Amino acid sequence: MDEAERVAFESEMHQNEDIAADVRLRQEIVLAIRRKGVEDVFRAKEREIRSRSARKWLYLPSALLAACLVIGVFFRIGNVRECKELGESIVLEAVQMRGGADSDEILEAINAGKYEDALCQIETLRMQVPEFDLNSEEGQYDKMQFDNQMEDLDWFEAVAYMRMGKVRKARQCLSAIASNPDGVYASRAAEALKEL
Amino acid sequence: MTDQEFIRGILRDDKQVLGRLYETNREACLAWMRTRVHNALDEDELVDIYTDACLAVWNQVQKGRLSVETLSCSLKTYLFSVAKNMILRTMRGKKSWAGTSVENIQDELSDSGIEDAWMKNEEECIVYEEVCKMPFPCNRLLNLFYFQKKRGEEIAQIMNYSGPDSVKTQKSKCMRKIEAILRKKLGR
Repeated sequence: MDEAERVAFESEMHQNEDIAADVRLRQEIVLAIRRKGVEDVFRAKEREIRSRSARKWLYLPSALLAACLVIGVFFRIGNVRECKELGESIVLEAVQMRGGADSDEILEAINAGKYEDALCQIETLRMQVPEFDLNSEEGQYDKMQFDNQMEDLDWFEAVAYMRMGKVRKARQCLSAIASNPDGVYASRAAEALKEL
Repeated sequence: MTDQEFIRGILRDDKQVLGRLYETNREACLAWMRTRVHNALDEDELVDIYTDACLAVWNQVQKGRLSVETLSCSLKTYLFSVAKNMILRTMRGKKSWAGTSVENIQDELSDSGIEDAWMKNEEECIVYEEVCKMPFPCNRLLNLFYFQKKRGEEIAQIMNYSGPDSVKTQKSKCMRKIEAILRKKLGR
């Protein structure tokens, strides 16, 4: 409506109660429509706030878990490094060997860093259990040599795992060695366990 | 955002301003209400009261009863006062409210000086109820036109009408329909 039309309409409205009532009703409807729109905005905002709050509670434990994982990884990396360094610091020398020539190959493999080969050979040797005549002196001597060799193999295995950085495996082997107080390597295994 | 900016935004139904009004005061108002009701109302009820309080503020601004010139306190204080009135009315409606809590609120109300002219009259309630019941496409079309203030061409595109003339025709039909329902209900 232009200005003249509007003035004419308003004048008619003042004189005609029905037109005024219609206009008032229309205004109320429009206000109600706008109010509904505003309410929808508020409800949507409420949903958004609640959703954000719920996500925060989801993200917080996830973030904490991630932080724990990262710390755990760093801790483990540190642990592995220390384990390797400890393994490298242990000198495996010929003078320690009391077993047969097979032990030489295992020792060479460990010192050359071929740990998997060494472990494989250790396993093979363990399975080869000869029979001993314990009634004879010779048989008793052979048994003693065999037991010494087995002790050496246990120690080699522990050192191999340490140099590989396999902390859990190394601990298992060292615990077994340290649990035999009469064993040649018991005290060294106990010391190594303390450091791990 | 200043109170003046809020009121100007409310007047033009600016969705961003409305959202900001709601979000800015929400935590403080809910926290305040919690201390007043002492667990007599649950969180959802408090949120409903807060939403109604924000709507009441919007209503007052639209009717010219609340403006930059007439505001004697901050908009936040006004909103809190409206929420206070609503809590009182809600608590009165509940059988198990703690009388002490309500008396405390009543004392504050008598000192507040804020008139509760924001209360809707019965006719407004009936009109609002019918508007909420409007089905599609009327509810969407009228929202786009009167609340979102979209032009005919935009509405035609959004609602897949052939053009602004179709929008005008449909809008007219929707308004006549709801007016007829309301004339019957209001006895006009």
